[in-house]
Amino acid sequence: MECMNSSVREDCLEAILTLTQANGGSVAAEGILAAVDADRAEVEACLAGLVADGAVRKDDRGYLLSTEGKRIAEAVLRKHRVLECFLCEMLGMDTGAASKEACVLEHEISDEAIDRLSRYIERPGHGPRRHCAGRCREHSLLEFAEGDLLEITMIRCLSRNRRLIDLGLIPGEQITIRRKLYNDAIVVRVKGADIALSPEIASTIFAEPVR
Amino acid sequence: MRCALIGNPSVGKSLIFNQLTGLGVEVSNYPGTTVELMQGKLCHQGSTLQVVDLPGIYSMDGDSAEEELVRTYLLAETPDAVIAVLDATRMERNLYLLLQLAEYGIPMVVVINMIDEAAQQGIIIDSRRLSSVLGAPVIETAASLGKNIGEIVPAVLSSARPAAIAVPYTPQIEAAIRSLGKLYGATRLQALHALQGIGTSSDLIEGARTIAGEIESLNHMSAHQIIGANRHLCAHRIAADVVGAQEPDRRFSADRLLTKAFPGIPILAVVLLSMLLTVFIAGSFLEELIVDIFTVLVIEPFQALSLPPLATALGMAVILAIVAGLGIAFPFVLIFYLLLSIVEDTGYLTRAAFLADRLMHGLGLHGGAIIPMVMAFGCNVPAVMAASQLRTVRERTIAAFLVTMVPCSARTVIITGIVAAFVGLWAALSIYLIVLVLIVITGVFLARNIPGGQYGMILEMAPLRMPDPLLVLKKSWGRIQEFLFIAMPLLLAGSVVLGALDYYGVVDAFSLIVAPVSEGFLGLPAYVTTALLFGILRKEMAFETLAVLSGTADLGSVLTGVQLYTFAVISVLFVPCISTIAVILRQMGMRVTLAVSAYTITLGFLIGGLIHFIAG
Repeated sequence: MECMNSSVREDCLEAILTLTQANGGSVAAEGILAAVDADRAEVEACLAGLVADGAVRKDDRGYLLSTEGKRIAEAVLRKHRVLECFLCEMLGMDTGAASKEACVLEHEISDEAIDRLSRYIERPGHGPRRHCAGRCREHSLLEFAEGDLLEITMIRCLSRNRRLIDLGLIPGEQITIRRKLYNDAIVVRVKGADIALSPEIASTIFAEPVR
Repeated sequence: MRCALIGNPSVGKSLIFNQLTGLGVEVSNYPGTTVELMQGKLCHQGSTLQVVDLPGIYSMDGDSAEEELVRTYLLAETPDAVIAVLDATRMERNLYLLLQLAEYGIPMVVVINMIDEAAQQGIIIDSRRLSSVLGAPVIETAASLGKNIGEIVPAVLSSARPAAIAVPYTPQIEAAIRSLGKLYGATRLQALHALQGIGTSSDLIEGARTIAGEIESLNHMSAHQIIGANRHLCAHRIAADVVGAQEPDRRFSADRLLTKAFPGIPILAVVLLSMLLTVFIAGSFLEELIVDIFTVLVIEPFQALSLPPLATALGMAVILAIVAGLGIAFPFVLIFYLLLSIVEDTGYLTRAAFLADRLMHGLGLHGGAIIPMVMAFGCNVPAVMAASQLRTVRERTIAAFLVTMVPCSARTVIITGIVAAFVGLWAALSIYLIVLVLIVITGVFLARNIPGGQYGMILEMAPLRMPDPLLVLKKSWGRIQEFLFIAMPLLLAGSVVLGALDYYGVVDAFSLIVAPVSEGFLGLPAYVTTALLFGILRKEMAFETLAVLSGTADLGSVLTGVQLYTFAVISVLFVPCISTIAVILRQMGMRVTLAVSAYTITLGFLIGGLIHFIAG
């Protein structure tokens, strides 16, 4: 029986990769069968197909990924992780449910969407995101009050406003809101200088309070 | 030897330039741009030093006209030395520019200015340490007190050297610089420029774009942003090293009042109104004085000569033109520019921009556009130039319309000379109100109908300080020169032509042609419309021509109040003068020029007709 279901195929590769990383060496068929949520017959057929395609090698102790197989498996695993992270940390889903949901979504989502989602989660210039379990939302400068000490976390469309970079308004910089008018025009203090910003510029700058 | 002054805006560069070079400064536009360059010469112990004051900038890699100019100037006409001026109170931000400048490898002298202000704020700078970090001489100055300015020139002549500091960029940028060097033979500076899309070699730019794309996809940050962040980090480290810990500044700052909605906005209104009223009142007083002096000393003796009629007619035309020109230039234009320079140099104009930001949004502009709008009260020509620095075509177009509608000093002369003198002060002020309302209506209409997004304002609030009287005078003098040397000859030539036309009866013939429109639609005698048309040459000529054509300076005796009022409103509104049209054409192109001219002509005659219809 030929394995027709590409998600089971990808699940198998993913299972082999994770199990290899966890235990080292070849992976026994039983382990894969336990990890993949599908019929025994279907999984076995898929494994046979993968061996035939050269994505997986079989030795006497079990299965091993070839270079090609490893590449596919890593791509799927990355999709899984990004989706799980997004569902759990940004949408606030339960970890187990997020993982299950990610298992389904990972097979259909395009590479581009995953890249963008990953960028969105990691946010430019901010390194790995801190864990705040879905409670942490983005706040633009307009949501803060006069006198607040803030750290810039992200700036949208920075390439359109290069002057912000030159004035020192970049992610990671600490700024103080000096003045906020009733009409949302604001003055921020950055690197010792007061900079006036129109509301539409201020709304592209995101920050979190410094405690 | 040539050297250039470089620094952030409002670091006291102009003041230092002024103290170095004294008088005898040449102002010129850099070829192909509207950005002004100030050049001066000085002698020190037998060697001549030519000093150029480059415009204040925040970055050497930016895309504004000033930033591009500084970059091309340094690359194409590399000076023998640069004087980098830093603001002691904002060291970290100023060091960012200095680090960029260091990459050009030009011998430099670093000047830390406003050291007195820094000391008052409790900022201590270890300039010896900075000098050893940079590998270039560092001088602490206080330009407002003239302190240590004398040390700059000897340092430039004897010890200027290229800064020995290089920003450590992230490994990917460094690798990109190396590979661009290997592949295209680019220097470090050229490679850094190319990664940010700057440069002239298309091969290099193309290659750099691919690498920059890779860097961006790996880091989720543009190469420009990474380079900027690296420089900021480097500047931060140097600043941490050389600038001592600082107590928070608890002194009273006028910004606590100036930038608040209340009392900030009332203060803004008072400042603008009092500027206008000062020009209005002091201007008309001085103008009368000048006219009286000329009448007694020149006009009456000239008439007593009893020359042949043609010579008398032409001579009178020339004298009247000179009187009119001087009567505007010094009382109105100069006073306005003096006030404007004072307001500018105190740093108040940036507060005005901040407060007016939202209001200007309604007109499709932003706070930054308040500067050309205020300048336009002096003369529309520099205001149009300032407006063409706005970022989008949409903003520039809207600003071109609105700026040309602002009554410049020449139009103020018409309002004071005709309406305030013969109708009344309140009637004169009501013309400003009419114009203001029309500007708002035009702005709102254009904002809704010209496509394009709204960009906002990013503006540094210049530190509040006392303006330097000498600098204010010099700046105003520089600005009024345009009026004296470009407008005056035009005014004289126009007057002579008009005098001759009048003598040979051409003006009467023209009046006959326009009579139906003039008398029927506007309720004005035909010769008044002729005067209006001469106003296109120079706005104040409308006034002067009217006096010539009606044969008396006492206009109240030949025209009714409504007629004078209508005349003033039309000449204030319709068509910018010929110099303004020329500058719009150069800066904004034919379409905008035609649109602005057609719109203002229609508007002027419509409103004039309306006034005649209601009041006449």
